[in-house]
Amino acid sequence: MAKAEIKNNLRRLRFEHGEMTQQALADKARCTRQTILALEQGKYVPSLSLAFRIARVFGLKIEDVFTYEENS
Amino acid sequence: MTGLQKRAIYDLIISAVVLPGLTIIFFSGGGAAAYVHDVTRKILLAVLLGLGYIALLLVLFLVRVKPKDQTVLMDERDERIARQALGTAFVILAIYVVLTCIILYEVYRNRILMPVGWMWFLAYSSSFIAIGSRALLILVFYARTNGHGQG
Repeated sequence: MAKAEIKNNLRRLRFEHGEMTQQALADKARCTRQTILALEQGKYVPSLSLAFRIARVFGLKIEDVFTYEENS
Repeated sequence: MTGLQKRAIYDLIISAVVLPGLTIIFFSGGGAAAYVHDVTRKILLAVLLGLGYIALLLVLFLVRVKPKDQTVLMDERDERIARQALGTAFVILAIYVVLTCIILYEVYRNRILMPVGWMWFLAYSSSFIAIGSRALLILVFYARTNGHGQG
């Protein structure tokens, strides 16, 4: 069975947005800094609601922040 | 550190104090058979458990600190970890109760009567095993998904 992974560009996007801190992003996306850290390390997959909020912080579409990759 | 993690640490410390204390008091001076008639041990246990429960309630207030600005103290990931920990702790508690009952059954099967003191031990220890194992699992689940540092 193919294994799926959700990857993200959070770290790059934070740096492109004035070196935004994890705490600043967490505050704007209404989550904890630990969740941003876990997301960046690929240890947590966000809910659709959180994914939308994060994308909105950067003014991007959800698929510009999160990508779905299927590994066979 | 999230509010849930802080609460789990406090809960674990309280359980780590109450559970061994409870076991020592219960098994000293004649064990389960003599427990029902031992007023001193009953009072000691009541005080220990009372303090334990009061401490658990105090933790709820200690951790309920209002964020200064818009900082979120608990989010969807915390809730997911809390749910997972609660579910697993429930299984641990069920296994503990069943195993204890099997052991008691095997020990007392030929004696017809079982000291009623065991019921108190099972009740008291179950509550703190549930609280302690949930707290420990929360910390384990956080450790599995947490990193360190600020990017």
